Amino acid sequence: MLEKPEFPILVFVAGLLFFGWPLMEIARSLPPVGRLGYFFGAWTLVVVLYFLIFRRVR
Amino acid sequence: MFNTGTVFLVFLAYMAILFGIAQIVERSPRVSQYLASRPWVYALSITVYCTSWTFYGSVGMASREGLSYLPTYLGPTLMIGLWWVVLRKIVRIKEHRNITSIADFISARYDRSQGVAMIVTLIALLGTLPYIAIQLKAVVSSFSIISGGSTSQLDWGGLGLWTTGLLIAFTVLFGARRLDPTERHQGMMAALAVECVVKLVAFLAVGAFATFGLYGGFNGLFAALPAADLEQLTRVGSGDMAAYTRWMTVLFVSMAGILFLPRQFHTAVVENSDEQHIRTAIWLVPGYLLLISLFVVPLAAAGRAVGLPHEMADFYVLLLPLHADQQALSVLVFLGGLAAATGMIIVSSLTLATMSTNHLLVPLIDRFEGLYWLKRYLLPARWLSIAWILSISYLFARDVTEGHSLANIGMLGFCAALQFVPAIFGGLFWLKGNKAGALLGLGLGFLVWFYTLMVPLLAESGQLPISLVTEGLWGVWWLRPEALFGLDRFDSVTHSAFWSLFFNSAAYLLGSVFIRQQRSELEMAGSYVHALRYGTSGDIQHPAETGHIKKSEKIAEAQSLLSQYFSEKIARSKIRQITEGLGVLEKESLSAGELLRFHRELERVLAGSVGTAASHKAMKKHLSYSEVEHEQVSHVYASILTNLRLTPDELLERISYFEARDRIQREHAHELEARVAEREAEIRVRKQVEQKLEKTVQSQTLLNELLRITLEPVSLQDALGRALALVSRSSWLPTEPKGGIFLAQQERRQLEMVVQQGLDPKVQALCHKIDFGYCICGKAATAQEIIHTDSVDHQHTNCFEGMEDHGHYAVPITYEKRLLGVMILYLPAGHQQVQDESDFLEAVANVLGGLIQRDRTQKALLESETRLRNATGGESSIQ
Repeated sequence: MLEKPEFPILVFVAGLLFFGWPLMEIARSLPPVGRLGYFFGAWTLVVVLYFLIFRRVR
Repeated sequence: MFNTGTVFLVFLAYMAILFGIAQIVERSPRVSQYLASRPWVYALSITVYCTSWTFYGSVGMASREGLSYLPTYLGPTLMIGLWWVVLRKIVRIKEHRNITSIADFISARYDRSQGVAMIVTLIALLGTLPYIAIQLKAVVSSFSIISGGSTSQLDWGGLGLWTTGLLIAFTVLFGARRLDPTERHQGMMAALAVECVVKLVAFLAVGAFATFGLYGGFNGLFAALPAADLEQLTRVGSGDMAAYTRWMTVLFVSMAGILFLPRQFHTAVVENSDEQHIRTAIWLVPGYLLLISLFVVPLAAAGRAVGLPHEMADFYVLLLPLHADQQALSVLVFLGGLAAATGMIIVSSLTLATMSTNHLLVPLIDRFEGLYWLKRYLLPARWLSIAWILSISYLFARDVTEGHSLANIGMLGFCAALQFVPAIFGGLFWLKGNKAGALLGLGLGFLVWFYTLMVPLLAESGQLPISLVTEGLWGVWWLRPEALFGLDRFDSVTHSAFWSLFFNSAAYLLGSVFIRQQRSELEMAGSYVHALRYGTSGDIQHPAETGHIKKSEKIAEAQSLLSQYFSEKIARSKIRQITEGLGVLEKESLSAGELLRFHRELERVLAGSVGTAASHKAMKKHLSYSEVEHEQVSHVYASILTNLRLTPDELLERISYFEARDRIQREHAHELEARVAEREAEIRVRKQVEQKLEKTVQSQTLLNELLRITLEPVSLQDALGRALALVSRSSWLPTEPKGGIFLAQQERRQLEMVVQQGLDPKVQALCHKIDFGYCICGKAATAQEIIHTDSVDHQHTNCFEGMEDHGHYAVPITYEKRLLGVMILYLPAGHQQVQDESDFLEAVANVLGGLIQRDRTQKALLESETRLRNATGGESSIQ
């Protein structure tokens, strides 16, 4: 599934939702460390997905 | 604390090490090749995105506005996910077109428009100058802090000037020592990668020290802070709608910034040596951004926890190790900040200098012939541009940035880069996007950006009247730069980004839809939109061809073109490289396909030094195709077309391209035809003059001969006979070799033929004696004018049955207006009278008149002498 060319676009859209308003309102309801966890956790997930998608030379 | 001299030595030593690295890479092809094939070098160089704004400014921003610093890195992280489509396409176009900058890339798409290139260069210049200024400010401030000085009273006169001067020198040394057709600098990229590692290591080191060294971990650190401070540090701004609006704006603006800031475009596109490296960059760059952002909040928290002043938050990163008396760490952090700033300064000023010379200076030189000599000095011009850019940035840093945070001024440059988005994305994905739309969109976007962001900044620093901001232009309230059309609910960045992008996109779309796209734009539009369908090498399989085009002529043409921009030696070397690359070095002649490829490579090489727009214009102006070459080229195109598998749309685009090319070649052929016609007319005139001269010489020779005859002691009849033969056989007179000379008998009013040549006996009998006024000769005698006939007509009274058709010149022989005789010459039937011939025959008649008169005078003298002798009995004689 990760090799499908549409997958990076899915990650982009999902990331935009997570890091954009209004979904990021979720972070507002979290405690301070939870907020950091929300953003850095999602960010790490995106980087890992990029790595998995693009690490291999097709 | 360190003394200023030590800090300066550290600075110099660091730059020298970087320069050494760059030198080793550039001088050793093995190392250079190794690094060029390493995707991590490429990926790390892209992290030049993280400047002193990241290194120092993000901690300051986190301290003031909590997590508001994040979208600057989250936007790029998201956007990079689309690079396999977007960046790969741009890189492939770069490879095909030898693109050297973002201005080059955009202008090449829009019919290689110099207007578009100029606007993009201006936007890039004005947007980047403040950005460079904050880097300079960060370097000077860090110098001041580490050496125990103040950040409120920076030493711009001493330290600032020295730093700027050294950075000018290093930038020239790193990237502008020669004009490189590819504008790729492997050495500089290696140094940049090292800088990126240094700043990351420094930032992680100070972050780890503050978190684990000072407080034993995140829990300890956060526990050391009051709850309100921790809440504020982990909130987005003040948590209201305005903060979220700004968050979204910065997120989108940063998406554009990661690729369209001039330095980012340079490292990601121009310096790319293999499109597969993009794969590594897609995960490595966001990973780097994540790591460098990880300790931002902890550092801001630590700064507060140790009691550092709020207004110094931009420099907590450096102040924390200094506060803890960690000297080695302080130097490392200082170097990290230096790396962040110098990397950006060097790449940005180099890119801007390239754009300024290619798109502002070269068009200016092309416009004014008096400046043509400057073409040979493009490299020194680039050095001067670098010096000029850094000097203006220095003045900006000294006089304008006071009181503004690093992040706010940085956003100015991001908003400028945002103006490229419609033109680039429209150009990459929309065939109908055209030059008119791009010019309108970029122009309007630039004006609105300048008015809404730069004007307030200049007004606040006292460079412009503040009333402009508070009351609006000409006092019109809805023209207030920070509340255009009454929109005052947003922060300045959101406000400017919204309006500039609104006007820019609208003008681009409307211009492209309503103003007709020129046919010449279609080829480029197609090659951009369908870039990923072509192969990476860009080579098309060419059919087998035989060469008939003289290589020496084409080489001379190319040499003459390149010599305008390079020295003779470099021009020769570049041409040799091209011919070697094409495999035609040893050939005497080129095929049409080889000529096309030669010209394409030549344009690419020139584009590398002066940009695609100027290069294309120069090629059109200086290179030519003969009619035969044009025909051969058409055959090659036809063969290529048959080998291509194209969709109808692509075929249409290609046909338009061939038609445009064909039209240019036809125009060239017409010009050549006009020139040939001009030359032929000149040759005709010259021939006429030569013929006239020859006639004059011949007639002069003939007259001389006649005069010689008149002086010889022969009878009048002999003399007249020889004269008639001479005239009637003259090579340039169209006369036939027959004619006669009559002498006038005034008493009888008759002409008597005394000599003839080649006349029919019947004619001789008929014309032995002719009355004045009878037939052609009699009429000439009466009128004492040359009579010309072109046939045996009504004037020709003396004729007989079976007489061949012919014409005549009947020339009266006179002396002092007294008729002495008539010379009749025969002409081929139909020959018309020519003034030159009449003039010449008149001259002949005058000579003959003189001859006859002299004979008559001699006879009269002899007669008188005889009479005298008879009267005196033969004793007297006339002496």
